[in-house]
Amino acid sequence: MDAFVPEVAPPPLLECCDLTKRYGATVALDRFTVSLAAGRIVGLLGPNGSGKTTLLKMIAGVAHPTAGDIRVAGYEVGPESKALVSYLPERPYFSRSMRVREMIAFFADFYEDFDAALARDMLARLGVPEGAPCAALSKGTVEKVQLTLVMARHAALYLLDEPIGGVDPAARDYILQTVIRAYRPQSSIILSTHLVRDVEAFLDDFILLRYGQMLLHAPVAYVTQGKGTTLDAFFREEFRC
Amino acid sequence: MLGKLFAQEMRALVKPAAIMLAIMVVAGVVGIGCIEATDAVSRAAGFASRYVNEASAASNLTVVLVMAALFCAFLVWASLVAVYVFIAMRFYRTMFTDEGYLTLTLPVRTGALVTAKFCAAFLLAAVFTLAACALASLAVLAISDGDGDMVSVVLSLLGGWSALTGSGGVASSVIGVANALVSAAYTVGLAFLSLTLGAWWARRHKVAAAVALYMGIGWVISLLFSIVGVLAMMGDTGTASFMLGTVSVMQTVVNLAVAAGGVALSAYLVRAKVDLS
Repeated sequence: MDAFVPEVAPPPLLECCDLTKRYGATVALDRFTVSLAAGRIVGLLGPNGSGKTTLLKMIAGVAHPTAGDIRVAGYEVGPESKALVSYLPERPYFSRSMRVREMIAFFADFYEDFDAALARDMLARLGVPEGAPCAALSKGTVEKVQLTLVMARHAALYLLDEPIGGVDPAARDYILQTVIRAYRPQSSIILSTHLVRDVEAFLDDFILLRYGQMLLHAPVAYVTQGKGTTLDAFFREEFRC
Repeated sequence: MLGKLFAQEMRALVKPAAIMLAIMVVAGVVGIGCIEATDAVSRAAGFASRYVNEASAASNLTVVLVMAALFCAFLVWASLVAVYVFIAMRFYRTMFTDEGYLTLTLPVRTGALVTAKFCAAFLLAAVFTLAACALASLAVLAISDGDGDMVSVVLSLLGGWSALTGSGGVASSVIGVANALVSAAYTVGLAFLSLTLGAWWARRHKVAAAVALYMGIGWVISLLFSIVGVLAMMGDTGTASFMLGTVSVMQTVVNLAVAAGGVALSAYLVRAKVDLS
């Protein structure tokens, strides 16, 4: 007789439970709970100060929750989760003295899922010389290099914090195309922005945040089909001053 | 992973450190040359003392050489201080500023991260400490006209254990140098801990807070051992000597504990408490 083997569903790619972050008396994130499956592109939407960056920082492991729990593919935040998460913060994080080839070597050294050939190819198409030190590159180019390295990892979860904030429209197109090209069905992307119009065509789901509280987590179709409007118009209506 | 982290840290530290070490060694060698030259000029002045002008010129030259030797000694000391400042700055920059976003998202244990940084920093500090000891020994040899015993006496003072081992001799010199290396580990460990505490506690002026913590903790430890040292000297001569030696040994043990504790506590705070701004 065959033994009965119960089918165990894989854990969600990202699970946040009652996640709270306080900075003194200020509540940056308040009992945030979400469960995210693989294969989704999620827009983390909200005005400035709504807790988007704080949430991404805690998932990436550079900030610590005051309360609550985060799990990435079942792992608590730590080396195992960091191996699965590819995080693009909103600021440049390479030393100005580091050369592009050293950045590639650094990623190749520490991330098993990093595709150095893909990174070189993407940088060559951008026209960034590998011998150039970070200090010699413009702010926009540094951002593109950083995005390239982050997206050249075959990670399970990409966290992109304001990747298109403060860049020109051409760079915005490059960034979004890079993100779309890197997307694989077994991975998910969380992209924080308040430039909703630029990203809504690519999104599967969205999360609305205000004052650290989640207002809504739904598929984009909930707005486009259910309410017959665009996500951008919905966002503007929700956050009208 | 510890090996990779250590190699990465060494790659970043080696080039600037090599420049600082070169400055230190050149300053030391020039300083020793000035000491030797002072000797030669003094001897020459003895012969020229019959001629007032030559004697006066030799005297002026001696003053210039002594000043140059002192300046070189200052440069050696400044290089030693500079390497610690450089180590502390790199630790702070790569852990608690924008570069921390790269460092702290690496898939490695925080303990391994801080340990690798400590090992690389200590290795660097040790090289500089040994270079400073070697230059000090050569300077003592130059001043004492090649008296090797004087070198042993000076090096044994670094340990403060001479009360137990007797000043002078190879053993006390080795203990002195070993104690200087323990002090280097203490300095690095305490600097890491102070910077981490500063990054955690202070909302603004985190580096200033770290400097205040470093000086405060160092001052408290020194004060405690000064008090214990004074109490130890209150007995008769034989007992006092033994007690002073014992206090020195205790201080070495405390220095090692501060170094190890600093690394462990820094790793814990980075893993569980410190948020990047």
